[in-house]
Amino acid sequence: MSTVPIGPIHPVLKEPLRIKLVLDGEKPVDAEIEMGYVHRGIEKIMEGKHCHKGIHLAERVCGICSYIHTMTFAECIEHISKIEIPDKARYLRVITCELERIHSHLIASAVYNLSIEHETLAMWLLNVREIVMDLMEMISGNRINMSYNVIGGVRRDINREMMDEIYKKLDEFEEEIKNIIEVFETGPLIALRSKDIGILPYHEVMRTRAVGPVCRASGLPESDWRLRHATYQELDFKPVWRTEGDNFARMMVRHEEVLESVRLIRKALEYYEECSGDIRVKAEIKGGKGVWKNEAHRGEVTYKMEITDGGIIKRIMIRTPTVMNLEAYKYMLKTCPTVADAVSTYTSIDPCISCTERSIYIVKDGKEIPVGVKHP
Amino acid sequence: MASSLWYLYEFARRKWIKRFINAKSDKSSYIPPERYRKVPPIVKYPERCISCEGCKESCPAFAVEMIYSEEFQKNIPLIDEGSCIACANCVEMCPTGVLEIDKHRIETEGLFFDKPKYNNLLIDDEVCVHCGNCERACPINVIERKEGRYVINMSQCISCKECINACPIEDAIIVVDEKTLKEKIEKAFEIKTKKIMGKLEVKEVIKEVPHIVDSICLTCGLCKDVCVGEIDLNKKVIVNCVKCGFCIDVCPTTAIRTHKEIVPKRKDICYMVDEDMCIGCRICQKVCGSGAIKISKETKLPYIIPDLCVRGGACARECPVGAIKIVKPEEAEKAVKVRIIEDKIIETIEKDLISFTKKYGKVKEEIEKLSIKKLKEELRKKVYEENKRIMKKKRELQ
Amino acid sequence: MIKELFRKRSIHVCVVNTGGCNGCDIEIVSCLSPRYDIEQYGIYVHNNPREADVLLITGPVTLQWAERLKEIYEKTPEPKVVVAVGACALSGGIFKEGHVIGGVHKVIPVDAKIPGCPPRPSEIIETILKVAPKAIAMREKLIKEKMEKNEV
Repeated sequence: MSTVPIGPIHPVLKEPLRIKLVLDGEKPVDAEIEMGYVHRGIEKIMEGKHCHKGIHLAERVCGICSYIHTMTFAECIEHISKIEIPDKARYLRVITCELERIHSHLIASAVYNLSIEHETLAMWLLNVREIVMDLMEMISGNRINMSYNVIGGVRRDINREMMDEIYKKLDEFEEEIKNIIEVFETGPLIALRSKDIGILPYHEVMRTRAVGPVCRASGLPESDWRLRHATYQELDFKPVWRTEGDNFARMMVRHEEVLESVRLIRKALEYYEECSGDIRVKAEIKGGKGVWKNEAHRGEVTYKMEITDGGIIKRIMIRTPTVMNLEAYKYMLKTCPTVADAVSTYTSIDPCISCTERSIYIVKDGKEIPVGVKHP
Repeated sequence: MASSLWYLYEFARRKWIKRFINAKSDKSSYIPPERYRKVPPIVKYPERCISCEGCKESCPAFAVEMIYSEEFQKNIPLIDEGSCIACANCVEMCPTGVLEIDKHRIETEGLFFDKPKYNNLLIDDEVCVHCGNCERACPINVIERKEGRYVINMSQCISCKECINACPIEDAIIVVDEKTLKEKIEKAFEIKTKKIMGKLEVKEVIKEVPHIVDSICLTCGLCKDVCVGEIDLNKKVIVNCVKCGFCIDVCPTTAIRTHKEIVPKRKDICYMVDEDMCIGCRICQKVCGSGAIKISKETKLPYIIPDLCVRGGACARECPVGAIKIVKPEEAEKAVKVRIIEDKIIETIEKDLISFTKKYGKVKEEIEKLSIKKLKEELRKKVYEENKRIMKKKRELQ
Repeated sequence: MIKELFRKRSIHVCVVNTGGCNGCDIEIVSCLSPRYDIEQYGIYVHNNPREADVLLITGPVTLQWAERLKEIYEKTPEPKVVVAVGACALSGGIFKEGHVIGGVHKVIPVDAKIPGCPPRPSEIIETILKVAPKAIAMREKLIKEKMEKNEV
């Protein structure tokens, strides 16, 4: 028995995290995950701030899935104070959200391909991803951290030229991504490294409470919160799922979700064309408590909020999917024959560490110290 | 080996090589699109700036500072490149459209934006004298008179603090900043956890039951969280109080209180009615919110009591002939002294008179009552005697 | 093997995330994509501080990272360039009030700063290209000096 530390800085990890792998010969037996490097205290900073300042903080919970955080934040407040946003804004939100989902899934896939030493496919994926990044920049004005949402709608409208551009670029994108998926599906080397590795069976999904694509790859389609979202119901959303539960299935679920997202964007654009009116309503925020859930790119994200009249945040709790998926990682290790597979399995759950760390207490020398907030 | 050959074949079959060459020569990627938000926003029209500090208030990253500019003779925002996160809050906050970030301002002009601020301003209705100075001072007209009291529209206020400068009373417009809110939330959380754990020591700290001032209540519910008794926030009343004083400690706006006095900011000047010019219309008395103007009994003209006056200036503004003037407080007191003494004398005389008349009436009644009795008795006696005399005469005649 | 041979003399970049939101890291990953293709300029991105010439630091330095960042800085061989990427690394950005030290310059000396939240990949490449050759030149100089000493 020996331990191999991975991280906090490691070529495969995008973010600081320490994994201590317990090895029996070549085979990993157990993993200990050490977090706490990215703790910034976002929930604590948000207390006492106006929600239009808080929405920019919510955006920076995670850089990859920044849009879905603002969307959930805004929808939670709209749910509490019973604001109905215009149809145009609803479809624009879905379009931007799905574009970001594509970009997130593609980067997850690229990182996975890098971790199984398949650099070519990773480069193809990164190149295709640039098309989506261009679309996002065109719609909102920034590639990442778009600040596109406000409470009561979205910031800016799109015009006819932009819509044509989106249709054109989507056609181009779909053609290329289909090729790449075919290469991934039929590639013999990829199959060797990813099929039957890191299996998470159906009954263990229930035990670990894994969410998102990890859960859907093991045969639980109803875990997708888009099924319960009004706009997605209108767009006739169908969840993607598989039953194998291995690394290959997880990546294929992501790839197929990309295609589903492309379909959703096209449909939302069609619906958007028929709408007329403003993109933002006059929103008077009323106080209260509320919970709102949405399907982020890695699983369900929950916002629990308490706000006052006029929109000052009193208390906020954010629950992000990666913690549950990291818990599931320990079960996947049972079917990892080597250390290299352990690393690729880790990337296959698409962890996002900056999402997970927002606890209020820091443990130092065995004592729990409540962390006060300092002011500039 | 075979598999790598397969990948090579795939690579050639899909015309990837051509696409890769195209991707590298794709120059459009280096030119940002029209909507790209540059960092930081540009101060495009500095001559329009009113130095309201709205941009500074709305910035979530504390990137804006107001620096005095010699060229324009006023404070102009300077945005720190290192802190700016390109969120465009300042652009939408600016009431005169000074700032610009690509084409954001032009595209979002006229759309509703709930303006976020570091300092929130609220008018305390308990000490407000309704002088209307704040409404006049507001540069963007967000203070309105609703049902006889002035209210700041919280979603549109830019927190420039012009109203605080114009207000004659101290602490009549309350400033709630994020820092105090955060501290109070923290404090309330601590007390709440203690309360749930059953470790809270409840002592009687305050003497009387506090009340909630409706106009400055944020309905944050912190008082309800820490209250040992019962608070109804919908009706804004304290139902059941044990006088522990926790709610007063945690209220961020001091909306829960027992007592607050009206303290004027300035005591070095005072208003005085010029009696030679006054026409006696009594508009000033109706306008005054602090009850400092009274009508003299002697001359039937108004005069201002310096002790009650808050120096709001509403009377001087509303006077149709300009008879109310600013003087030194000693002068005003001297002039008003006579009127006050006169009024007092007249009042005392009137009081005395009333009491005298009341007493006189009583005496009269008594006299009347007494006299009627005597008359009746006398009458009875006379009648009796007369009867007697008649009886005597009858007997003599018989 | 061929890759390793050519990468030996290229500019080695180590990315350190000191608690940011991931946005800047993704933009650095996008630099690898064929469109921007950071490797055509002879820049090799990897995460080993012991071989690095350029340290790309993203994120506000969280309290837990302060000591470790110093360690990483000391581990890096001497002709080194520190580039702070993004608003958080420059001044703490939006997290100024949080549990962060705020700004890389408070912990280690910084040579170049890239503003933006996050900056575009082309800006990142431009900065590295401007700053790194200096470091490379210094390294060559050191090697030459050593060679001369050996010869003497």
